[in-house]
Amino acid sequence: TSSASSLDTSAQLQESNGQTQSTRWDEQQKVFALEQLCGVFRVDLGQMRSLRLFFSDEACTCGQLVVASRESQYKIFHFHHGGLDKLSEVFQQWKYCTETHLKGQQLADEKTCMQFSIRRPKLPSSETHPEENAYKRLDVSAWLRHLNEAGQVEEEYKLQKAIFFGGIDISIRGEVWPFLLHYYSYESTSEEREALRLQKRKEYFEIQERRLAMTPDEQKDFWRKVQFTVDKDVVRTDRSNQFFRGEDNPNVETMSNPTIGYSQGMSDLVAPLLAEVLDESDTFWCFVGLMQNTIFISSPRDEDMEKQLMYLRELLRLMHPRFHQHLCSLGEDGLQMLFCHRWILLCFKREFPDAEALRMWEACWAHYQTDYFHLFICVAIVVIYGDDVIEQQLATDQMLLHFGNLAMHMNGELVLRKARSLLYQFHLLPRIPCSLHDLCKLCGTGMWDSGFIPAVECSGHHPECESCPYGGLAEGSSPKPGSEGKRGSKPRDVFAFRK
Amino acid sequence: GTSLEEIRPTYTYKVVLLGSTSVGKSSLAYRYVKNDFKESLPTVGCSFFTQILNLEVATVKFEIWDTAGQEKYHSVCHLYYRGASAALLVYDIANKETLNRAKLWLRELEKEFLPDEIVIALVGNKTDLAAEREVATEEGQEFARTEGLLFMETSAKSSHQVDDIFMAIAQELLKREQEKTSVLSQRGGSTADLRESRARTRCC
Repeated sequence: TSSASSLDTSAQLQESNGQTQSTRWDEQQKVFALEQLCGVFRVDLGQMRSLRLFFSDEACTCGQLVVASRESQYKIFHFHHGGLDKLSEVFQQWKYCTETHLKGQQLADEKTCMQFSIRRPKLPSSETHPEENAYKRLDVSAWLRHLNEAGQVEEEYKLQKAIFFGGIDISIRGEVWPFLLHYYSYESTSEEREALRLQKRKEYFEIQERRLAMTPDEQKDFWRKVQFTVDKDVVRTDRSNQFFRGEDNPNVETMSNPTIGYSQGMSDLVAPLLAEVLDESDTFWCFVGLMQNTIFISSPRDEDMEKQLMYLRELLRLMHPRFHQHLCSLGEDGLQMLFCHRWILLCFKREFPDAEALRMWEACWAHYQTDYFHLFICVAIVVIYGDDVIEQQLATDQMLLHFGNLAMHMNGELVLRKARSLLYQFHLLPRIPCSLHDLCKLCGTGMWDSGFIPAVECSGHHPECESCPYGGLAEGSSPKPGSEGKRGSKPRDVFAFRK
Repeated sequence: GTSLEEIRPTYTYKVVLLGSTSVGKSSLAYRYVKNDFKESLPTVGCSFFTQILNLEVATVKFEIWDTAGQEKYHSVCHLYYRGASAALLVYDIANKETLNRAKLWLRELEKEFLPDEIVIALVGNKTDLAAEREVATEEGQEFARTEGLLFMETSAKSSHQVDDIFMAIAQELLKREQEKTSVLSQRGGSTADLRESRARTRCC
């Protein structure tokens, strides 16, 4: 009956506080199997969009509970014999629930309806970057103020900072992205850029001609190897975007230009470029810039990805030790962090709706204080959405499922703000482990803008054969045998320290 | 009410989808789990689905790992199929090359598993593209027979035989469980909890 179902949902709320979690997974599977037979409706209320109560009596005990998912699916529970008041009390106490007052209802004496929005915890103001909200989105007039008479960017760092905090208005993305992607240099004048465009356009068409001039055999080979995948993926990428809509769309052909080789996912990255930059030649060169000058390239060699993951592990160890500990408890499989590979490989394009993902790209491309801002975004996601992983001690595959299900359901704005604040906190650390030394070294202006160079201490995580240049600086001067032992019997070069 | 102890045993199996890019691995998983078809984006990294099958003798929970056909980050590949109970080697019947690629995947699996450790099914997907067929049904069938693999041709688009192949895998896995039980009881072991025999790899 419906009242039985409602009991089930409220029981679930209370249940989430205690119990040893490791046994729960197996128990749950039995329960799920049984429920499937009986047709029980079960959802995680924490993943819903809203809960609404419609009362049918004056005492507010009977009526309907309407559960709405984020995809706007609804489930209605009818309460004919009371109990709805108890449920509203439970919701009012639940930490993820905030009561939304409906317009015009605050003053009415008689309650006819209550609405609860499900909210993930908000960031307390103490946890946000102090300069948050100081920057508006970069629009045309603000952009022009960054340029001098010759069209050169006056102060690179200022521009980067503005973009890092405020993002770029859609109308001038095509204008500004080529700078962020190293197609135009910040010092270039308007005239120089025009000359460069012409030159690069010529080069681009030469590349195209070379492709068209291939012998039939070469072409056949090329088709088998590259074009097949490209075409398949291109057709599958962003066709809902107006720019790529329609059959025989020339904008689709543009992406089939494989001089740098193609790997699955690249089309994900180039599609928004093409949509914003609009010109085929310019897009091509911006994409080359993206591939060459940014870290999150989509066809990384194993070493590149290993380096990213090593930094991320170290950042987590520093900034979210409880989560890091959980990964360690899972052994090598956990430390591989399968759940975040796609985040890094496609720079969050599949995790957030386009509008939010592009904000993240811009924040990364700004290279403000670090070349690795995308890793701070990863940490932010884990900090905001990873509590359940630790509480329920989720195993590797369950973690994959947990974060996979969050794709497109996370609050990108919140994540970005948290990531900025994490960068700020990292900045404030009195000393950083040697494993993260390069995190602030690669960046143009330097991680520490006031000329402050952080103290580096050896974290002691080196294979015995390698010596650490920071070995003598602090207490962790020699590799501790204890920390070696933790890592399991098979040391893999994943954990090796690379210079 | 029914006490939980009285329900049939529950077995959890990790199933991996392997094969070239664009053969329809994700679509197979999506059809099977959601009974729907949609043009999907190329898989990057891997994604994960679960499906519960209530059979007469047992409840089977599949953990389906959907992998990227083209994985540039090679060091993780072994993580995909580590601890797998079953693998679907998927090829596209309209693209001969993808069958060859499936054969290579088989060699990979053979390096990693003993024959009785994993159930392998060869799956020729996209039967809806009959007009463009490059691989004859017999060819797939013959290869599967010589290698001792399950075989089926499917269409994730038209839903042809998708449930069937997963069902066949479930049956084969359960058959193997039963064989193991009978070996155990011959040894005099009492009713061992089989859920533990395929223990989840929580940690190494």
